[in-house]
Amino acid sequence: MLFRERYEHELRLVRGSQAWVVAGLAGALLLALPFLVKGYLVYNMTLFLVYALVALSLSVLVGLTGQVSLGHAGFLAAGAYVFVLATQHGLPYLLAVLAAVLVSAVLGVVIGVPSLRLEGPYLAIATLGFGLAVQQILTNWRLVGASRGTLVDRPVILGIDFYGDRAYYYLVLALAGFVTWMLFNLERSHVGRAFRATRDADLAAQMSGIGLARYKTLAFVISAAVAGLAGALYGPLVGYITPEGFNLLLSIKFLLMTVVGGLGFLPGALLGAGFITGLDLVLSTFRSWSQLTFGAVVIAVMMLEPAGLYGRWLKIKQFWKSWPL
Amino acid sequence: MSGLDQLAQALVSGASMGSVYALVALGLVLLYRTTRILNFAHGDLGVAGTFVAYTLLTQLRLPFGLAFPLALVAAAVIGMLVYLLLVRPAKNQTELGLLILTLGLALALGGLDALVFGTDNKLVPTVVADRIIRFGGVSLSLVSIVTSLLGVVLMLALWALLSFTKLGVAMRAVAQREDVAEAMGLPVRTVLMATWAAAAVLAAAAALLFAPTTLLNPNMMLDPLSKGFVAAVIGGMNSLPGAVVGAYILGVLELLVGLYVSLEFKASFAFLVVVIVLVLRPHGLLGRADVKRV
Repeated sequence: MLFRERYEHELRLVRGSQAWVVAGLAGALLLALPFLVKGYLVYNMTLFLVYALVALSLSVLVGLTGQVSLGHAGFLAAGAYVFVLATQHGLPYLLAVLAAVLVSAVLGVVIGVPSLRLEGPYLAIATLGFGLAVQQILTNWRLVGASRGTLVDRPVILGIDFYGDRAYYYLVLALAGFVTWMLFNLERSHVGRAFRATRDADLAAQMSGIGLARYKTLAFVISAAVAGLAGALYGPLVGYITPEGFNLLLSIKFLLMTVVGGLGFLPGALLGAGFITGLDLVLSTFRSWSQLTFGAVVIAVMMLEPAGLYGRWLKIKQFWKSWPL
Repeated sequence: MSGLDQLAQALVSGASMGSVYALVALGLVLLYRTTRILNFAHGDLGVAGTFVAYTLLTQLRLPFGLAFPLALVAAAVIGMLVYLLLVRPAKNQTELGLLILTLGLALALGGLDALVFGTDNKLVPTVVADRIIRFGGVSLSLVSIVTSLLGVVLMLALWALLSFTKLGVAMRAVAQREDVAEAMGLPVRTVLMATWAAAAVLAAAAALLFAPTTLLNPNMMLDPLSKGFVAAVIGGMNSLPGAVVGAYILGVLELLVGLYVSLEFKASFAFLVVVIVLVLRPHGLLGRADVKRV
């Protein structure tokens, strides 16, 4: 079911039997993997889940609404630091996560409203500036340890200790899975369609009664909130956060995940997050060549496949479906 | 040192930083208004040119007057190669796709530099031996004065290229309307290649002038590049005079903030300026909005 022929196709969460099989397999794999692989890989799997959340949030903003952000590490940092401050003040885990999400969402409004008037390169540079500014403010802010960074503990919820890598993985999987499901639902709702309408033809969308300001800001808020949640999950995962960790390169990697995975497709963001995280992991073994190879792979994907990995997958599917025509 | 002398000194060093920012911003704007590419590999193109100069200066012991032009030529060749081998054949020709392509190129070039030359800091010989010149109560570094002057000379050269040569006029024509320029018989591909070369030369010149201030390493241009973007956006992404104005405003303001407000927040100040300018003028100080036809 590549082309959505009827309105009902548009409304479905999972489109077609094949997609059910893929989704089911992926879910089963994510549930079973921690018991199949070694310890440090569980850590990297959790990292993948966190990055996938950011990639999804960026996919909503860049892919669905067409607003570029080169500063998503800023939202991630905001989420992580708010989470740390909240837990240091004795808030229970879930409330601290909620606080991180709320503060990031507010930051999303702060960035989103001025961004309404910006487009193209201006928006890219403004968001890039936001990411760098967050990093520099944190570097000089003594309350959160300034450039030395700060320790983050893994939580204990209702007497269950999530200190172990495997236990924490399942906690992240539960939260990330829930939010992923919500974002996929958002995409097929009237809000998701409004996002895509503003991306494709903002004037026409406005003529059809879609409030541009409202939906563009909403996209920023949702994106920032999800990235903030990812930050709250990221802090306890790595155990020690420094402002240096939320640098421009991380923002760039998030953008790479969405675009390399396939811009405008939420499954593409998941694919891209997996691809980039995996590439990082593989390349870390040959240190001095890693950056060059990373860049070369990105160039190759952009030169060969405009629609990204997911776009290529759709093309292959289409080819076999209509074969031999 | 009196307050006034301090101010004068800040203004001169600010102008010298402003020259570097202006060269970076000019390269970015020159490329953006012609090709719609927000070039994130700009800094790394410059660093590549500086590494060529460094090799010529230290290995072959060429004089500065010879090494500097040769490095610029090398940068021009790299720029042309980037256009011919990467940008032109790329299948993803959207604005965002090309932006990502330059991000990948930046990573690859940085990785290549690190692989060939190492990541340690290298001292690049300067044009003139640095001396402190006292001018009344103000002490100025000779290198920063020469940097500002060389920057201005290069900007004038670019202005002359765009105003008085056939190639320059063709570049402006392609920037205005690529399809019409092609219909009029202009060799658009050659002109675009020349634009890439000119942008790379500007990047290399900026990096060469900036190198004595810091030390040469693969990540040297990260800060000037982000400031160059800020300057270009303040001035307006499609206005060359805007880029220069934005760069000098940024260079001087930054030092004044460091002097009078807070040294710690000097670096983040640039991005506050961007937000303020863009809220008031979404297309920069001198930029014009693209006309959209429906």
